[in-house]
Amino acid sequence: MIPNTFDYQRATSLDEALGLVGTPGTKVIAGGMSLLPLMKLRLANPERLVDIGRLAELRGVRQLDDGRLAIGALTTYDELASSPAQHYGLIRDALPDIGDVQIRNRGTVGGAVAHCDPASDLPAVLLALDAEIVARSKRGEQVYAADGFFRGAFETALADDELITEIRLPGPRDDAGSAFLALSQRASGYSIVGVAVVVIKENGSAITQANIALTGVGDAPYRARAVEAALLGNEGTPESIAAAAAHATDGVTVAGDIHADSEYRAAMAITYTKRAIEAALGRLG
Amino acid sequence: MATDVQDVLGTSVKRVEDPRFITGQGRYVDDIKLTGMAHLAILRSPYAHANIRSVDTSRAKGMPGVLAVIVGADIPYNPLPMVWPAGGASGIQNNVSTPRVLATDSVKWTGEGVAAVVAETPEQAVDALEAIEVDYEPLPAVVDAEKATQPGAVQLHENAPNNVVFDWSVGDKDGTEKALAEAEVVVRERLVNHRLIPNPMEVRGDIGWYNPGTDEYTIWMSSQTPHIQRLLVGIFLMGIPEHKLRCIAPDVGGAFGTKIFCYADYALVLFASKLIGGGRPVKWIESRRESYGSTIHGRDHITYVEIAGKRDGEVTGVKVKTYANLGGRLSTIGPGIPTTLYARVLSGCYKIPNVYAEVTGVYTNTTFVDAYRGAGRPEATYVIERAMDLFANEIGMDKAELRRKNFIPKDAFPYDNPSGLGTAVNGEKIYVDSGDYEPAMDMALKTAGYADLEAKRAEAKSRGKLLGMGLSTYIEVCGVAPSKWIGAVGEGWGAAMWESSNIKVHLTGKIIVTMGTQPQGQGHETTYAQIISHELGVPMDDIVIQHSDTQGTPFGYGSYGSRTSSVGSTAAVKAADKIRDKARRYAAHMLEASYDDIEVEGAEYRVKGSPDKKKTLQEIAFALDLGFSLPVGMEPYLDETAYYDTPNCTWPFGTHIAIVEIDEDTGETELKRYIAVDDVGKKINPMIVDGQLHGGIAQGVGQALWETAIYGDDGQLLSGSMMDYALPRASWLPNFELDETVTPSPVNPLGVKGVGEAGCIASTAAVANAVNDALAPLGIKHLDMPFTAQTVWRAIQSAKGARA
Repeated sequence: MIPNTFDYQRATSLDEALGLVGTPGTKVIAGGMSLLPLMKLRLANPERLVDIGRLAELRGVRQLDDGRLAIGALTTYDELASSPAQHYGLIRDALPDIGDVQIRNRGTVGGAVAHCDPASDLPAVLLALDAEIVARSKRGEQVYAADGFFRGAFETALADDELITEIRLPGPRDDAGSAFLALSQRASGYSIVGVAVVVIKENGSAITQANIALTGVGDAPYRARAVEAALLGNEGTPESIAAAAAHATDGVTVAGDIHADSEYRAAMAITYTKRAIEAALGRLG
Repeated sequence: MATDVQDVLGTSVKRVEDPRFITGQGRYVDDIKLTGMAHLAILRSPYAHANIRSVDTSRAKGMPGVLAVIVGADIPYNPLPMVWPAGGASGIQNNVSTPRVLATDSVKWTGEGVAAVVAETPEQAVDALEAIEVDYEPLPAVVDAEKATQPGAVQLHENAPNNVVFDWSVGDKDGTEKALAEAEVVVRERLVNHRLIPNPMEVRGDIGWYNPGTDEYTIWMSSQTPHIQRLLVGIFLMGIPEHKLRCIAPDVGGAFGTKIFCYADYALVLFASKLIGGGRPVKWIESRRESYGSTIHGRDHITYVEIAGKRDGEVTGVKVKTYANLGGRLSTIGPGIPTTLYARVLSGCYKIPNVYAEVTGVYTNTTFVDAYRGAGRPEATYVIERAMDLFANEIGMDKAELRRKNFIPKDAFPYDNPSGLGTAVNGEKIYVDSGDYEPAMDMALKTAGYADLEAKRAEAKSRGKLLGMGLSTYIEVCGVAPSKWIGAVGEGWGAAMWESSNIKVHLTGKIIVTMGTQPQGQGHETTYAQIISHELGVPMDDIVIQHSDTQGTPFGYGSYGSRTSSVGSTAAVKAADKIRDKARRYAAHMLEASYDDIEVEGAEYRVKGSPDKKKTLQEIAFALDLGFSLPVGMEPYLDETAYYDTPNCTWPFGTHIAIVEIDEDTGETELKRYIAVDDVGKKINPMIVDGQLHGGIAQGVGQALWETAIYGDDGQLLSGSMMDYALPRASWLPNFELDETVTPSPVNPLGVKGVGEAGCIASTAAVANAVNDALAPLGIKHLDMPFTAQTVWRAIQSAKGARA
């Protein structure tokens, strides 16, 4: 449990950090909650770590003028939990079960997004919220939609020379209900299945928008389009929810491991999708 | 010293160890940093089964900081000792293969040590491991004990045909088969008691130091048994006699059995220290990942049980066939666990006239298996408690009433169980000496609301949950053990198992007690001090308990098998008796009275009828330790040692009840309530007893619900880290509801029995019975542990499919 030898450099400004990333053999470290265990097991052997952990400009949560919420990439899970982000039901649901106290104190939102663990909860939450991921490089700023950003296991749309600086969430709205539910793998705490749901009833009793994102099931967190489509226009009866949830893994190659084979995981994707939709609608009243 | 010292025996005084443990002031092996100390790392096999063609260390030797690279052929020592062959008087053949300090020709499991690096720093040692080139010839592997005995299976050892270590049996075969043939009902089931990885909080580690000036060796080791290791590592393995080897176990951060044994690294660090020269000590600290593959595992039985009886509930026979997986090579007492410590208590607390068990010990390409908390007794309890439930379901009888009908009656003690608890050296047998099982069960049933079980089940069903309640009416063999029994070769480990205590009352009246036992977090420094305070009338603050160093403590066999409170404590009481007696003789001298006229109350020694003529223990010790005036024949100093060999084991018992709820749609199982009524005899410190029970229950629940070692067919350990091996967490468990009955043990003066293992002996079966009870309405007869969500879901799905 001793990492290989590596060089270490602490960036003192964002510009300095942007000058250091992107060179071969370099990894960026923030909270280190995912990277350091991999290095200790010598599964990751970077030649150089660029530590961006103390860049104050990437920290903190602020409300934008248009009501959106901007979350600095270095905001920890714990800071997020006590920020205005706590008013989003699915963030409130998801955060307490991410890692443990130490991980929530050290782990960062930007780190989780960039790492893109296939069973990480936060990417599913961002997918369901239609979040934006803001990245910077020496070339300038790039804004990615969450949908399409998470491309595969540990693979994102982020370019090698880019750093995530901010995550933007749409402003809260009274006609939306949301929920996050997960079946956890007991040892690691990662989700075997995690489902993030936002449902909107713009005027009246019918669902006008449904964002459903799953994690732990496929190669990367994904939007369950077929479930969303099946929910549109209906009122959320138990039967219609169950019928919609049945599409939770449409088009997805469902993962299997020693904790949950693909048959069980697929079944739980459907069950948890159903329950998460019910919970989100329940919050809508 | 006051005579009004408060009697602390039996009270929940706070643990004297805890200030240092909880403020980071404990001193574990890795806290010890010695001048000139070098560091060792071990290269472990990535293959479960392979021949070693060659090992090239040339590149590693040139790495920065490297002092030496060691391979198996460099080491002149014997293979590791295995001291408990299965057998007894019947002379069973044991096909023994034990590890070498480093493997020479072949590896039999992933994690077996192949080479080692000694370097200036731990980082340099680990880096150099990657430069060692081992040419392996990979071989096919077998990991399942039953499959390993089948024709055509991969063979591990030339001296073990069909991978069989031993075929051992106990009980009356003909009588049991007759009972089965004549029974009104026979229920048969295959039960898997899966493999566990112990996970003490402190991993293992050791520092070896060879002093070339004296030709003496010293080892600091995270061990439960420093005295035994002086024999095993010294004489058996390295050929060093006792006076040339000192073993020191500093604070030990948990063990659960893993630190009883003789491990290769002990000899390796001593060898390395001598090899690099200059009197430099060599430290090795296990990584958590190494611990998963290279420190012993527990359990791993496949058992076929047959239980027979009458429709009125009388159980007349139990027949068992068990395949015990012992790993790639044998650990120190591996064969003893699934034989003596398992099959001889298979009938539990029941009066079953015919019991017969066959046990086959088996080699597989897995980590070696040895004693893990409970060691054989949880496996036995699991078999008999599951079998009782299966039988009750078959005849349609209430599970509690079936147990009540078959309990050994309280007037039947001492009870000679049919699986023959030991033919001792001199032909004496070990008896279950005491018990009164019904009151404990009735208390637990009442607390659990057993009478309302069906109403609870219906209420849960209305919420989409399957509720189950499971009983485990267990007994335990504690306080191992009478030397006449455990010393019988094959029955035990061929050595004695008494305990020792030395008490010195120093000039100032302060007391230092040295013990042969070895704590791993249980609170011995507290409980022994409570006993000595009670015995000698001295405040606890004036007493210190020392242990753990073969230089300065009397020989003892260490702490495991829930033996310390009964065997070790009695040694302390006997030593205190000697102190009191000598003090009384010296008080008679000081007070110019006869010995018979001196009466003792607490720390006060006075002349009967003359209450003013008195001396305190402190005054006596001061005068006696100086020794200016001594009666004829009396030696100076108040210093006494006692050795104590127990006449019998102790027999805790109780009833545990688990209540679980299962989510029918997902298989997720939640432990809702846990009720435990235990009879562990008298308690030295009830808080510590409760702590042992809490930890043990959590550990046993962990086995039933979450923990499991998973091997791939190629012998790779797939659950090889805490990311994949689910240890129980406090937040997953309900508040345990503990209660007690107290039946003092008749075998020792304190009436104590032992409690270190009771929790996990009982709880696994209680939870397993609860889950199976919850699933029974679906027509599921038996489901094996662990009850992970997927396992339970699949069972529910297939039951529903079968009924559809």
